[in-house]
Amino acid sequence: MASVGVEWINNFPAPCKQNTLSYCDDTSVGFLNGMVSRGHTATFNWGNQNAFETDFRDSSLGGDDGNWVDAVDFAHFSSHGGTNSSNIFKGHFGVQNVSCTWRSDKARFGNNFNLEYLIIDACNSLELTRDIIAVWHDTFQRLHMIFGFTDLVSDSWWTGGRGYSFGRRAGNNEKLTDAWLDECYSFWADDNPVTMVAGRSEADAKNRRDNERLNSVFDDIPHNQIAYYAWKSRS
Amino acid sequence: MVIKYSAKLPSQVPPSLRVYRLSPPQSSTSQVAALSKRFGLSGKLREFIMSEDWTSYHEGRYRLSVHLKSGALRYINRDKYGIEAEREFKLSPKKTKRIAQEFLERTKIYPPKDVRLHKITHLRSGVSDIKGKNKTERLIDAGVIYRRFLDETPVDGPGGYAMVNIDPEGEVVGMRSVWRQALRREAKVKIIPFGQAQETFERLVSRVEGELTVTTANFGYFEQSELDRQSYLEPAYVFIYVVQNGEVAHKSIEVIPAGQQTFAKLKGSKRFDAGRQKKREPSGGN
Repeated sequence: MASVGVEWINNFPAPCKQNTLSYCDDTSVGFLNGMVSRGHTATFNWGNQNAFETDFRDSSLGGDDGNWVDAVDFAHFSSHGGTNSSNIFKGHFGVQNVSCTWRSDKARFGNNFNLEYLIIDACNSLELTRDIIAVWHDTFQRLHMIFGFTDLVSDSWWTGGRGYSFGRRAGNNEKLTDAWLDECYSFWADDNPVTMVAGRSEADAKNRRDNERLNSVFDDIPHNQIAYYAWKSRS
Repeated sequence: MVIKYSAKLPSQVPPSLRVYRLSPPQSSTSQVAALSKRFGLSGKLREFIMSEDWTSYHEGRYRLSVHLKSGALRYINRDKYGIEAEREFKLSPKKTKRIAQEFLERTKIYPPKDVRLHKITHLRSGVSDIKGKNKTERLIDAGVIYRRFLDETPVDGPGGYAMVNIDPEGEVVGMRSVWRQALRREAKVKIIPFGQAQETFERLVSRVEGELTVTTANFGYFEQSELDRQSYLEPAYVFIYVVQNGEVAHKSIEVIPAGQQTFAKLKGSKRFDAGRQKKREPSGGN
């Protein structure tokens, strides 16, 4: 059984001022509920003012991820996000503890041998017009997969069920990439999901991308053994 | 806040439109077995999997599933759907459209007059070494999307579509649709002018900060997603918009009822209540 943690932010008061979002709780808590309905374990559910940037920042870089995001098997983050031209992803928080944003270059997941799957339900989180390997390579420290979106992803009631639908299928041991792309693609809202996977070789990366399931036997890859990345998207 | 419209605005809106009562989902095992015959399956096996959401029928390498709330349909070849074959997808758009069209005609699931080609999407794969020196990107399939029309009026929303998946060999390896059958005419409603819906929309987004661009502004029937029950098909205006606020952008959607009389809410309450959270004490890192 997998342990699951989710963090979501709809409200962004000063000093972290951003436009209000409406359905980040639906996507994150929906994912959590979907996983729990299949017998997996809810470890934490932090929303709005309770979601902290330090939960995502590596302990060696001043964060506290070893007690939170990097202490579960499957983490889900839903909020504002964006990848800049320097190939750094920033996810936004509603409270400044310690910063209003977490950054991909401060994230090292799996280095306490735990986080395997990271969902970033935020705009441009796996932005294919940027260099996704430059953005995320340092983050893959035994982390297996990142699930995200290229371009903007909708915050709306009509598409907010994607977290639940993916959680049901992931929790049911279905192929993770198929489940993510099927459940999160919306031609109507133009939501374009992407998965990114690390491998020891080209064949290994493709095999993991196409076949990894929650209960499959793919092992953790130490950072210095990662040679290839594979990704898949629908658009 | 600045509002821009990059979308083509609905120019011809009818003065009135029929509202339809929709059929309930056809998701019992006997109904799914009967439906499977349209896909060339025998429908005679007893291999059903029932979950809280779906009724699924398995025959050989094929699976046909019908959603219990919406009647949404998914059909896949389990060996080929989503799989990256040795050969890249290189069929021409013309041939791709023909294969998808023939599949829809053969299965006779939807009346041909109600089906219009919308666009061709692709499942895409990429692989690269960590330095980015050996990078390959390919197309794996084509997902041909058709939109639904009813009485010559487009059906908008996350439902009202069918997508046919075609592999590099030209074989149909999957199909999904959200297409609730109309049961009967319920009423005729007068349509509010677009300008009135636009005013409502602009009021709803008036507190948004930044530059707001409406990328889609459509009129049509509105069909809900596969997760939702829906009893009536009624008209709506759809606004999809992007907001750029400094370096942060986001995308959102508003749906405004277009009928003077409405039959059901177009937006439900939160699907997953997060509940009230006890304040967490700030903790830091090291």
